[in-house]
Amino acid sequence: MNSSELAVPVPWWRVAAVGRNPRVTAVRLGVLVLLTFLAFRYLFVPIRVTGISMSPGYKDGERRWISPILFWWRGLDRGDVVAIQMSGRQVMYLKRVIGLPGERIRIAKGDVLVDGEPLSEPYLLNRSPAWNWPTNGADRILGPDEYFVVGDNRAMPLENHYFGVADRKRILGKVVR
Amino acid sequence: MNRWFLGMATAVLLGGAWFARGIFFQSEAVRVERLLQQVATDVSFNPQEGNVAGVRRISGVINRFTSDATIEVELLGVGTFNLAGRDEIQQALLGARRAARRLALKFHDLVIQIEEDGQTAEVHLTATSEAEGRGRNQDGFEALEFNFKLRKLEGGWFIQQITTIPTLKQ
Repeated sequence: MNSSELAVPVPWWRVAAVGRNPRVTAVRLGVLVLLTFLAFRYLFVPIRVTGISMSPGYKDGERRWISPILFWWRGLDRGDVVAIQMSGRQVMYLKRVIGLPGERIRIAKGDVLVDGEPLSEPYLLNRSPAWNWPTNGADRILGPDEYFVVGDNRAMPLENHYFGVADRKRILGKVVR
Repeated sequence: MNRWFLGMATAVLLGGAWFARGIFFQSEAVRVERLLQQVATDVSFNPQEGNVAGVRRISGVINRFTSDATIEVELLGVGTFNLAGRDEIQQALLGARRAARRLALKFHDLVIQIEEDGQTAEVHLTATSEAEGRGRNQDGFEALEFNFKLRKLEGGWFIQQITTIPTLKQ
């Protein structure tokens, strides 16, 4: 009688729970957990839109994806929609980048002026001529790490719409879908 | 009993011990977080809640503030308002109940820092409020960043100061 004849078969429930080789299963599980964590933290962060400040393009209750890695890799362009962090990642502002670092920004009678030139904004459904910013009438010159962000729903009263200048470090990523 | 089973059992025991530690030996940060989450729950209300229950909950909230507490909040479309002392805070909470049918206040992403003296704490958090007004078009959702300062008095934590933090600069 050799040793293989004495081998006790592994119970089915143990195979189902931890596989034929528990060590390999543990390594696979660890890699899977790590990859999932990295994917949902840096590659694509799922979000749910709440509120109407980004309508008509982004509706209340819609699900979207934010990509931090695309933001780090390619930076931001005018027109990108970004998530801006508050004290963490559970709640973030979703806004459109209108002004880039170093530019002069002003909103006059609802029209956005970048370095004095009116900006074409095809994503807007309508805009209110009551929008004027900054209130002192002067242009706002953006610093080296500052972006001017605002929502797409410019029909909202100005005082009910949260917008302004975001520091680069507060931007988590841009919307990819 | 093989090594694999022993390893699993040890992991389960360690997990249980870690969980029990959280129940029996709360850190100061956990105490602060529980206090603030309780405040958020007690400030929230719904139309089914009676006046007596509402007043009792407000009293509970007020007792979580120091007598010299201050609140400086900038609300979108409303402006900045300052409150000083428990009486003014109580009046503001009662006013909110009169103005709205329902309010759901939640605190998210709490970053808690207990100072070295162990007697003061600072919390950076995001608050969301979902309100249902009494009139048409008065419903609203708002998210704001806040800084809370707390003080420890007679073994318990009390809110001393609340201020809004502007997420976007003007």
